[in-house]
Amino acid sequence: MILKPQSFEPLGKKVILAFEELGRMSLLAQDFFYWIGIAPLQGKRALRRSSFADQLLFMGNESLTIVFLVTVSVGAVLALQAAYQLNQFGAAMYTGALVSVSMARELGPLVTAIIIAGRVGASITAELGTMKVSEEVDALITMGIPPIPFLVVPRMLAMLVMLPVLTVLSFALGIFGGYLIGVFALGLDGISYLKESFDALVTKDILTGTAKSFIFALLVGLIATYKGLHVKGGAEGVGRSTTESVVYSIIAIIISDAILTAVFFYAFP
Amino acid sequence: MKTVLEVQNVHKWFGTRRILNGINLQVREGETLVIMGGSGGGKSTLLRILIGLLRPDQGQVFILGKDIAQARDEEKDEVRKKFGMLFQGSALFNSLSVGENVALPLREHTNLDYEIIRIIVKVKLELVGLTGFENHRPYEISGGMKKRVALARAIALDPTLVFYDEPGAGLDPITASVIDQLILDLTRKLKMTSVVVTHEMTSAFRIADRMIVLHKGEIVASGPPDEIKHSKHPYVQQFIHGEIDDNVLSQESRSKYLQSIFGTEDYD
Amino acid sequence: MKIKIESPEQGIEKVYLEGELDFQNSQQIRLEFTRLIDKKPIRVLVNLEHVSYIDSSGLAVFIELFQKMKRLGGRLAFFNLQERVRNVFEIAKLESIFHLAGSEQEALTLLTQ
Repeated sequence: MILKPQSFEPLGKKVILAFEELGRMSLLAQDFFYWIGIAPLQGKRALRRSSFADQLLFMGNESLTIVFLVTVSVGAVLALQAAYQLNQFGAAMYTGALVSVSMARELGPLVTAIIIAGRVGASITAELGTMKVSEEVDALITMGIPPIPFLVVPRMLAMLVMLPVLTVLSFALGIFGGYLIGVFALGLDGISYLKESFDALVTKDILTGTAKSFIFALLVGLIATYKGLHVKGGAEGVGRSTTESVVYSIIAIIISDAILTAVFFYAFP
Repeated sequence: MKTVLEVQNVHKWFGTRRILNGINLQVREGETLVIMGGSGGGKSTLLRILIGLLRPDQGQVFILGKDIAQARDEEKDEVRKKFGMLFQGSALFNSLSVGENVALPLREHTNLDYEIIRIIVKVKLELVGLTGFENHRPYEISGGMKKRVALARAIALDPTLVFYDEPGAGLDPITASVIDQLILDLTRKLKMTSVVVTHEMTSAFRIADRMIVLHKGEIVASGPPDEIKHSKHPYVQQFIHGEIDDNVLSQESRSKYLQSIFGTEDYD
Repeated sequence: MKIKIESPEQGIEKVYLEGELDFQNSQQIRLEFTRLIDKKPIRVLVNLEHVSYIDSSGLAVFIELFQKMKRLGGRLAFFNLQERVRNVFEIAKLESIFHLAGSEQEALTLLTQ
């Protein structure tokens, strides 16, 4: 089959659209940083404290149970899989170390961010998208209230606080999950399991893990608010944008995780 | 009489489609102007340009002496504090109670104490006949009530100019006439200037001091309601009487249709 | 907006306002009234002769003053209202609740009844 030049047209259009979208998203990022960094210095009100608090509460409420269930399970699974391998070398006592380090460096931040993208990111997109299609965003603008500080800033900031907090929590929950398996299924001694878990963890592991979660929070928050504020086409559009918000967030989390892991690996050996 | 709103030679294109073609109009203080026209006539686009949500490709829009079409965002926000807008779907914030919705512009734009804002909200809700509804949520009240809350919010900052987008849309005829009556009352009592966009004839003739009719992006008629009623313009007559003009549907599209089928200009 | 408060007799406060009472300055006038209320006056007379305009916030400040006076068991009257200002009370359907007098003398008799 011979491809005619115009066969590439749809593909080219998609690429152009993708870049346009990236461009607009970085404009939103720029706006956000303007409102939290420069606007307060110019005497503008950048943050509505009560709505920031509302968002924090909402995010915590929405995701705490799922984060608990998932990260305890991940810790448990990790312990089982690690023990399976380590047993071959008679090194099952290192299970705790393996679980805690993997949770802190990799799985804690990754899993928590994906949960938040699906749970909180989606609801941010749906909420802002609904506001957009029911003219509420236009109403804000015509009242002379800029939507970025009113809608985006509290959600972004709550995300930037909540995701790292939940991530640190996920370290502990993962270790707890591993502990359950280690003690009750593998018959390891509880005290030495915990000692092993915490001895293996160094500050660097926790810091890089938390640093990752900040970047993930920024990405999920930006994608979710952007997708919400740019909904087109009524209720159907809200649904489409919400799905896209979750999909793009997860892709962004995983790709940036790969990049960040490589950066940390070479920068802090 | 002072001119509150002045539109000069406004043009707007969406891609290759011309939506507005040289709109000129003036609204004087205390007047109620109704902008009429069919779907796709450009009235919604014109309204979005008037309130600064869209920038015209050409022309000026002076609101209380300030050109909102060319203003920077911050200057626009200053102008926006001086006018109110009632959206078609009310556009109340569902996360806020009725009272908080009305209080929002006051909280954002004044340094008034919480207690004073609470009193103002009570007075505004009384003006629209909704005393005691402060703590209801927007989704708990009917469409007509939502419109009234939205109206209370639009007049929260005592604007001298209020825009209305299809105030009767989605309401039964009785509720719609209640809203019309409310607009009339408030406009007179508070000495406001009103600009109403609508396609509903009864409502338009009920509230207008002056009307303009938009068709294909141009003003085809303008004047007091009586004059419009007796206008000789064929589109205006059709519009008022709700007649279907065969020509509207077929004449122009026929040539395009034939061209798209036969691919040539001269198919005859 | 100018405000002057005199107390010719124990328990009587005469308030003189001048200018426009609007969103810009009503918060400041409210503070003056709060100070006035702290003196626990029995009668307050407000001269609005030279007030050309009040907006919703101005009305709200008067309403709050009225509430506080009532709680104190005192009485409040306004006099010499300009047409535009009286309208604001009427629109809010409060002209019959407030004592709105045509002159200082009338206001005084309203309060001493």
